Amino acid sequence: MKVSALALYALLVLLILSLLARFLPVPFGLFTVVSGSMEPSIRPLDIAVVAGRSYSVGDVVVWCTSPFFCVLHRVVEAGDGWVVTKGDANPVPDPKVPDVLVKGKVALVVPREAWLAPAGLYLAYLLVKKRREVARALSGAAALYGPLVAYMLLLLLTSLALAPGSSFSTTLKKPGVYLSRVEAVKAGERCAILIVYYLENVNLFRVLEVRVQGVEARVLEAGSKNLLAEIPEEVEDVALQKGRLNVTVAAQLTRMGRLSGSYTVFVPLREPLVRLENGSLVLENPNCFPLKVNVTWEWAERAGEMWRYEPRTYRLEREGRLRLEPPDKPYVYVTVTYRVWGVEKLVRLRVRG
Amino acid sequence: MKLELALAALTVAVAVAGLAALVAPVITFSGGAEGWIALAGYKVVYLGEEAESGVLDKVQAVALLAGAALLLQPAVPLLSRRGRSELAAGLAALPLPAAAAVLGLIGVVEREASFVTVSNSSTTAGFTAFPAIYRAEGPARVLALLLLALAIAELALAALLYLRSPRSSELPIEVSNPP
Repeated sequence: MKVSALALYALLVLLILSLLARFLPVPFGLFTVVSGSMEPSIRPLDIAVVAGRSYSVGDVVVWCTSPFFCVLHRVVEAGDGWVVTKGDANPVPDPKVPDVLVKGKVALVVPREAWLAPAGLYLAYLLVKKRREVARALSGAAALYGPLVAYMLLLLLTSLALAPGSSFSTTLKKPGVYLSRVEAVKAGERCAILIVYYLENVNLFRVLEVRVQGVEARVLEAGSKNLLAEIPEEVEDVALQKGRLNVTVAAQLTRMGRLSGSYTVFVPLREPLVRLENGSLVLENPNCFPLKVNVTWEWAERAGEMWRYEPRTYRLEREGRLRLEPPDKPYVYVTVTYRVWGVEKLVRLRVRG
Repeated sequence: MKLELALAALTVAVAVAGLAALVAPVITFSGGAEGWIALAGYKVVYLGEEAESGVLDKVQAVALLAGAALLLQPAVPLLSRRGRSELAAGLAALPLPAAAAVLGLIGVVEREASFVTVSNSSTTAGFTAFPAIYRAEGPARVLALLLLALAIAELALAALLYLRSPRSSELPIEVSNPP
């Protein structure tokens, strides 16, 4: 038997095996790659040789939902009875599929350069060699119906062989912007508002404006997913009174998008520390807002005498400390009042007597 | 002779209309997405990033087959003149399935193009707005319909020529005189 005939038979056997693999549950087969989802490792028109069922994460497998729809992708996750694959060039993994659909592991990839050119040359050689037989065959009824039948078959086989690839419905990187968290934080000595976003396929490009209670705030830091804006002094009283602030943000996103958001930030307020230390009154403001405190000294020269009052107002700076000396009298009390969360708080201490 | 000339003109028209239907855009995008999709290729830049579709790659491969059948058509009158009327009529039938395939592929492209959308949405982050995407239908569908009409005309004409031509079996046998 001639070599050319042997090669032709070998090709036919391969084709039959390849078709059988699609219809029968056999752990081998040949699959022609049609999409670029596995580029650069596997390219369109490469031939993948599937052999053996055992595979693990990282292996390339072929799974088929029908004889006409097969997917050749890499295993990224495997569980009990299911497997998740992903094309190397795809941004997202495929849906979870039952592992019974997996035809097998790709054992060998024949590059397109290795088979396209020899196959074309062989076909041309056959045509030239058998030109008389071809010419004879293309006469009479065969000539009339042959081209149409052959062409229809070719169209049908091509449509079936080319498994549908990933669609725009899954490959388009649609942007999504969500709020991850918004909170008041310390930025140096001042209070600032930190806003962190959860972004899909998009980033913050430029912060156009941040307003706190309607007052424009200075942006201290703007990253691709977060921004830090200083709380303006004008609204610090509001923060102390209400314990929360309204923030509005206008920003430009990458990919030509715009974001306008409005959020409520709860301000973590702590009460000031009021205590006596070696006979002196010590006031400490742990907050990053200045605090107004009213201190009223009450004193009397002797027991039974009318109490005298000496009220004073102080501004306790951010994280500030104030030490006040009491009047030099034998009977002294002090009352400290301040407003936090909109509620007036009172602390009364006996200093002397 | 006139019929043969008409067939020659039709085959050229089929090839030109077919190739035009393959390369002409089916859909063009502007706004948030820029680009075009034709049967022979596509370029879509979606919100500044180039988009890829395996479905359109497949469309391209099948369209290539349709194109091959259409490119063969100018050979039909040549075959007819050389007495191969069966083969000419057989080849003249190819544009019909090719045109049907082109029309079907245009439907696939339109379905694929319908996924190229962007929506303004309200989420926990607020209101996000992206530029609207405007779609315009290209001339491919009209050209495909023209191709279908031309293909039918070509087939009818080729069939007529085939019926009027003497069959291979009816051709006189040339007998060379003995010296």
